[in-house]
Amino acid sequence: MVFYKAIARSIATLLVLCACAQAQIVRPRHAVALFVDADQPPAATLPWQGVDLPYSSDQQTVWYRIRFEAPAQLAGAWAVYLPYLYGGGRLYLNGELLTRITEPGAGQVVRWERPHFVPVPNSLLHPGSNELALRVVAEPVAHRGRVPLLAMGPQDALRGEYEGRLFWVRTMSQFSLLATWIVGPLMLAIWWRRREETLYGLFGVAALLWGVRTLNLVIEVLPSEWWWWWRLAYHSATGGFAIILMVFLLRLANLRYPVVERGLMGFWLLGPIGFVLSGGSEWVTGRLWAGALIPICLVTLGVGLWAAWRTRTVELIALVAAIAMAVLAGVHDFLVTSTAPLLQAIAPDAAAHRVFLLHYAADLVLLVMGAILAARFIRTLEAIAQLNQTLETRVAEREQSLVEKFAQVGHLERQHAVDEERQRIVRDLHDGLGSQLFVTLSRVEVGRMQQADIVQALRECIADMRLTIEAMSPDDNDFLVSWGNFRFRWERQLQVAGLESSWQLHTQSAVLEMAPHAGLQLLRIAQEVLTNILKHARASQVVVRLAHGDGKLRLDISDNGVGMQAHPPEGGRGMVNMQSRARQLGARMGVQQAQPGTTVWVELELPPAQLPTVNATNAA
Amino acid sequence: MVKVLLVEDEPEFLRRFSDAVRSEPTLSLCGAVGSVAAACERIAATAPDVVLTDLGLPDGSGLQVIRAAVARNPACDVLVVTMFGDDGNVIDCISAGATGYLVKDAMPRDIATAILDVAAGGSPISPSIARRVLKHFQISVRASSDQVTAPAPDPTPVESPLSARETETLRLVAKGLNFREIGEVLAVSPHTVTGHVKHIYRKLAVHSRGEAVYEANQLGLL
Repeated sequence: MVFYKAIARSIATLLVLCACAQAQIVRPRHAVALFVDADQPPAATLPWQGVDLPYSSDQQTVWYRIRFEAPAQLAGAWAVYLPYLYGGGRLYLNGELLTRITEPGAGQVVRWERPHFVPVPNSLLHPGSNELALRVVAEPVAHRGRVPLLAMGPQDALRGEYEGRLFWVRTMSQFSLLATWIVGPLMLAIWWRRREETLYGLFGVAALLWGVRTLNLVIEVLPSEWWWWWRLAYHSATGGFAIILMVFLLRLANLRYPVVERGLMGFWLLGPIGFVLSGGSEWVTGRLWAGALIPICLVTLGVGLWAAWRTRTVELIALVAAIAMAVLAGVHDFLVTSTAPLLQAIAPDAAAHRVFLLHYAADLVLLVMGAILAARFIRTLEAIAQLNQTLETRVAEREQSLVEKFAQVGHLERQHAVDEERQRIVRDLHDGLGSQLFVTLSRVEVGRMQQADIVQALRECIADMRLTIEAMSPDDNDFLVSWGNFRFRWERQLQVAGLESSWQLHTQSAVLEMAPHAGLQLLRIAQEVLTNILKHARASQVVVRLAHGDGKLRLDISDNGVGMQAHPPEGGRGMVNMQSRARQLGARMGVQQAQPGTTVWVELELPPAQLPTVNATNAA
Repeated sequence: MVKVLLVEDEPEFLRRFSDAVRSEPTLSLCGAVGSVAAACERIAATAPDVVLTDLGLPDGSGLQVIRAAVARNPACDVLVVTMFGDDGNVIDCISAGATGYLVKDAMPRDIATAILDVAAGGSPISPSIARRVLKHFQISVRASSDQVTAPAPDPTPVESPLSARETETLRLVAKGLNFREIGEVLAVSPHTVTGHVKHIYRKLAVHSRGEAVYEANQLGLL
């Protein structure tokens, strides 16, 4: 509680002190003026005229004398605070020079936007009545010398007021200048790369134009020969800013009327042209042209308002509101500049302080424009992200469907391969087993077959069926598996028939990959040869040798029988069959006669399978 | 005397097998029937040493006959009569307790020889059956010695009950080598090779029986 009381007491003390300080500030409302151009304060005896402050005169130089009372007890050092003194001048207190504020003169033009704070030495200030003498020089735009409602008082009490105005009038301008000259080129750079984004371009131009206008306020002293260009730039930038703003508004509202836009641009050009043609007339450009901008802006604003009402988009509403404020500020400034009697009647203080609001309203407008574009930018990024996500999803879907298609194609291919194999088997059954059975049947039907022949024929049929099954059964297309089964069966068969057989296998591969139908043809040839040996050769020994190497598979079947020449099997039909099968295989085959015996050989190209090859030679 | 039971629903084949058995003096035919029911009745009544059974019977499967025969006499040898000796049923039959197979078109002399062989402790095996047995135990068909330089195609087979010697025997059979040649490769007598094969059959049956018990447990039958 004690703490709060202490704070309350401190605040109370502070308020009392402020009140005291405020109480000591003097704001004289009256002065006497003498319209002469003199370096020193003219003599009091000359015909001075009484005037009310603030006062403005169209004379190039005017002297004013202002009387004020100073208290007997001074609370600290005093100062004179001048909210504005556009054309510069001199300040005397009780006859002593306080300060010279640079005036326009030899080769330079001056237009002070800043307020002036002139410390007063206590020695010069008399208790009681004092007299301030002020030389005021006309500012270069309106050619009027304006005396503000100046204030005298303790420095501490005045400094806040001074610094406040300094900040709003000068620092803010500097800040705006910096901001517009950074943001403007940036936006133009964006537009340069993406020409269809005209809003960025318009914003960039608007920012730069406002920067030019603000520069006009920031640079207060300037060589005379630049002045004319300086004003031209000022009017062009101010009007241009307003026009660009209107175009921006219309485009944001999706109201694109090229004629209107061209008209607005044309009107913009009128300003500088008028300025040039009128020989730099501030009245023609600053009043007439700038004044005509106001209704144009109001009409456009009305259209924008109507569009905002219809579309209810936050962007448009915000921009319309900001521009409306800017237009109001512009009207206000126009009235202040033109020292309209109306304004002076309604708000004499605002008129007296000559506070121009358009600077801040324009900053606000630029801020809103920037915010709109930033929002759009973010929305665009989000849309891109969204789009990317959609695309990714689509790509994933396509990928999935491709995978499915590949699987389908793979399935179809396998199906095709299976179908082909099936056709081969059916054809094989038809040509082989089928025809053999039909021939046997027809011969049995007409009674042209002995029982032993029938048994033999049927056994051959079964043997062929076994062969087909042996060739078709291996699931990894390994010919060695079929060969193993073939050997197992024939070894017994030869043994039963009383033949001694020797089976040799020479291969570097653990697997001999061969299509089943090819394997079948090779086994058929082997079977045919062995059957012939059993039937005709009268041999006692058979050597069956299968060798694989150098990409070739070679089958040699040798017997020690009587030879083929003497007993051509079935009139040579068996040999023709074998030759035909070998051709189907793409194999070469041959018969070698020896004394005694015969060797039948088959050789075909068979590249080694893409499987680990090992040193596994099995000879038995 | 070896008591032989024939189970075959095709009369022509039944006659053919019967003739083959009768013609061999050391064999005695204790039944020639054409159904599972009749076979089970004969097995119960006579406890045959060797049973020859077809698989597709009118009132059931030859597997039932095999189980009944093995249950009645664990030393009983069952030969499955098959068309080609390599169909997948053969493995099922061996698992059920069969110790061999016989192809349907075998000569009468071969039929008698096969029965005598199996009764004497031999077991016929073909390359395709050897492959199927290896596959059943998830053993690579390619010999392990072949793989010394090759990367292991699959991890250690799941607890194969077969000894290294038995596995090697199966691999050589799968390649088409006969028992004499296998004996030479493994440096044992052909007789020993025959013993290996019989062991393999027995193990397959035991192994499968264990699986059957496990499955029955899973199904809540036991």
